Amino acid sequence: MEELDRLAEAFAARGFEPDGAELAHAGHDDDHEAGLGHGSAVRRFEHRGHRVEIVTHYEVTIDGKPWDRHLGVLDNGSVTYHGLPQYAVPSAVDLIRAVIDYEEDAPDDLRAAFRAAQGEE
Amino acid sequence: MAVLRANVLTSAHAQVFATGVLALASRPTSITPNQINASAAVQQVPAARIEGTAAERSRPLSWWDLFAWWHVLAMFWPTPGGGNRAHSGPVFAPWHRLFLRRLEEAIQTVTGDAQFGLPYWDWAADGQLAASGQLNAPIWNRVGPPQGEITTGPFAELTVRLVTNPTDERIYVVPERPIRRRAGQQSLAPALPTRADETRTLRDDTYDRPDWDARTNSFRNKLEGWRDALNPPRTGPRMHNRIHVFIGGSMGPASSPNDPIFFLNHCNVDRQWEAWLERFGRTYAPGAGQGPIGHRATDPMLSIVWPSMQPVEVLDPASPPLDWYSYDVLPT
Repeated sequence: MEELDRLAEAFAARGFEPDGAELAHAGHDDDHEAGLGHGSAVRRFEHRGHRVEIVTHYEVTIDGKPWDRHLGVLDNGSVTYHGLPQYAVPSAVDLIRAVIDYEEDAPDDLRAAFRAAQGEE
Repeated sequence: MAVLRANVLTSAHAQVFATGVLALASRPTSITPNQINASAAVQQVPAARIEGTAAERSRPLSWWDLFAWWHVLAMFWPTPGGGNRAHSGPVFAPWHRLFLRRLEEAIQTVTGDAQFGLPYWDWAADGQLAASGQLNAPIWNRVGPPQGEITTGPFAELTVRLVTNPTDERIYVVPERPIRRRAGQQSLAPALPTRADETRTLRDDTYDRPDWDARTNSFRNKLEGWRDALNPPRTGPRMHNRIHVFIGGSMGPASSPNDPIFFLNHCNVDRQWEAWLERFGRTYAPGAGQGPIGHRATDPMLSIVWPSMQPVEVLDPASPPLDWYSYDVLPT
């Protein structure tokens, strides 16, 4: 176990900086394009010499309150969402249902812990 | 000396795996969420900030928690093209190979068993069963029940503290709680992938290709499960993605390594990649200077605690200089 403890101490000593972090500023999410809004997904492709761009914009409310998370769209029209990172579902309806299912199926103690954390913000 | 990775149903190391997981989960690190939140990494990737009450944020995380946060950090670290440092792009297979190897080494350390090799779950075998039979498959004797909070079986004593909330995409540190599953209850993935899904995926001789993303037609994208290997494609997640969705519960959000079955799933995915490497050659794409940053052959893969490696450095796990592991059987 001393080996693991030494690794943790070394990680702390370098300020918890991950290896490979030097690529940090090189990346950006193409689906979060400036000016397109948080809820926009962009698909680009070429077909017979034509450059095509399809921007899909979602505005979602749940119980009347805006739900402003980003939804992506694959070429086959499947909708994706980072909060449920392995989901690729036929429509945004399926996705929002899945999000609500997760919320509703969460045990009471877990929901209470989320609320407690949010209450201290 | 490379260790042997075997089917969890027959592996001599299945019990060592459970012992090791429980040891890592009960062993605190010296690292608290507050310390992580103050790091430069979280300043660069705010989504990896750990939310929680002041009391919870000041308590050290366990080693098991740290693996969950590593996965969250990589998943929330975006790369060009819509992917991230571990998913939706070429680095999916090598990053998880590195992630699993570090867990394997950690279990070797905490159990004192230098011959320990991670077991895998051959889920395509269970995919041959009728959907109802899949919930009674022998795998659940190895990992605890397929549904509900996991308070019986080998991981009855396992508790976790880092949980991603799918509603707001944030990761929270909470009081210790069991993991949970909802296998077979997701209409989007009511059954496991089949042997035919696996075989079709392994036929693609191109590891990855432009645009190197979740839309491309490649072995990696079929293995990850964004693209169906069957033509015309079926809707819903396939292969690796389908396992997460099928099991649901703790396996759903970015904190999915909380559930030990995450590693059995990914060990099988790594075995499938190993079969592809054996068949088509130990190559990787994109090469240096091509493809999205964070996914290229010589880009350092994101790693906490342990040193990073490059994708090209992990293509042959059974041979020197790695000498990490081999599999008892590869799929065909």
